[in-house]
Amino acid sequence: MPSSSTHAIPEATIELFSIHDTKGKRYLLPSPELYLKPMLGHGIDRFFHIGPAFRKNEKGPHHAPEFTILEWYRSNEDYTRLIEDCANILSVVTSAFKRASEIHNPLFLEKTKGGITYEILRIEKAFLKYAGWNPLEIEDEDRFYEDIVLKVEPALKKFKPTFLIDFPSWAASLSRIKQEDKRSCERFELYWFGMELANGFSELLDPDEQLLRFERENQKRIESGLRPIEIPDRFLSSLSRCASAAGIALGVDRLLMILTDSKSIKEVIPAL
Amino acid sequence: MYDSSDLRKGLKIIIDGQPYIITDFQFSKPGKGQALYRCKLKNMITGYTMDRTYRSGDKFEPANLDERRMQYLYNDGEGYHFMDTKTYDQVTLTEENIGDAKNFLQDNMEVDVLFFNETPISINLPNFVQLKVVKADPGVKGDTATGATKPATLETGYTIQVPLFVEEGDVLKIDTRTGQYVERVKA
Repeated sequence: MPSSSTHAIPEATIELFSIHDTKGKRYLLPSPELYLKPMLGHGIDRFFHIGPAFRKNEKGPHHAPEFTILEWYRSNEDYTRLIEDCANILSVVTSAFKRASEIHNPLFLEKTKGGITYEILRIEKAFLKYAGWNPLEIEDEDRFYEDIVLKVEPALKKFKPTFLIDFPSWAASLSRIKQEDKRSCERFELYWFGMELANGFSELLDPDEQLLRFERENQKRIESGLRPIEIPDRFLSSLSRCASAAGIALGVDRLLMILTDSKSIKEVIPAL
Repeated sequence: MYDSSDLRKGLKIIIDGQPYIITDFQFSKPGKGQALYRCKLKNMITGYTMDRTYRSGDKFEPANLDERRMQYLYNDGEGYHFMDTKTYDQVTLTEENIGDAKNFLQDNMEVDVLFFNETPISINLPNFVQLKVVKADPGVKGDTATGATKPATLETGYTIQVPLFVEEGDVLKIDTRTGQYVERVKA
């Protein structure tokens, strides 16, 4: 799997590293989905990839400009199956950790003593309770993401994995709109130990709808002073060949932070 | 102008016309959302602290601050007077400007006076100063517990906790950042 491409998925808030040679420019990929999602159209039903991802100007206790993503896809499934996958991964990792006596993390052992139980919370309910407004009724993207960080996440049970599900339809990214409630989409984020650990969804497979969203993302890039990203045509045209599927990305470094009780992502990435 | 990605601990910026220093800084960003730059800020004139969250694209005016080495002269009804020993220019700072530094100021002491747009706003003391004890009770006999202390008043009027062996007339080294006794320099 290449880590770079001449194309990238247009996303409003992600800054890209680009590399240049005499033949032109390539991006260091901020996520592997550009290459992975089209594989759904080649008859591969289930697959995963673990590898580096690059995002410029992201540096903080939970952010590093190069980090590791575990991404996987399942055909003929939706986002509920990914929630089960995550719960299973957390359980397996937790038992493996308990057998690995060379790592000692009393906090983690204490908080996972009774096994892993998780919670599913709809975005609408979480926002009405902790932020005092309903993003399914009011579209305000800046306020939405700000309140997730400043109001919702801090109110979640820190040591219980929590899946925030059914994001507003206007924050659907590459996910499918929920048929039962078109104000929302089949997208979720997993939170644990105060961090966003994974982002998954039932995949949108409609090239026209995806193109409109890419154009909107590019419009926002221009408004915030970033360069628009050329529409990845081959990615778009591959969508119509794909089987119905769900896909997810999980931050491996952040999971390691939880297991090792690290306060900063630097502690789990060598020589950052 | 600075923008959000320039924000970091120690940066000095202007907010509502006042100079602030960033005392704590945290970057956070939801995977699909805008970056948030969470700052703890301290007003460099009043010492007032506050939390602010900024977004990508926010712009900040750098605080135009400079420091000049000056000599402390005296304190009267008007305030605390300092002189530039090269140009003989004099400036006056208020008690509010001086803050806790008044506990350690001695006549003729050299300090750094901080100017914001040519107006003096505060002073930076040397990390350590030497001050004479003007009043200290004799240590209580028999109290030999390690770490035992008693109050002592310094020549500036400031009272600190000192070890029991310190007596009136001793010169002490004081850490101006913590306001605490370091050692006895001269008995």
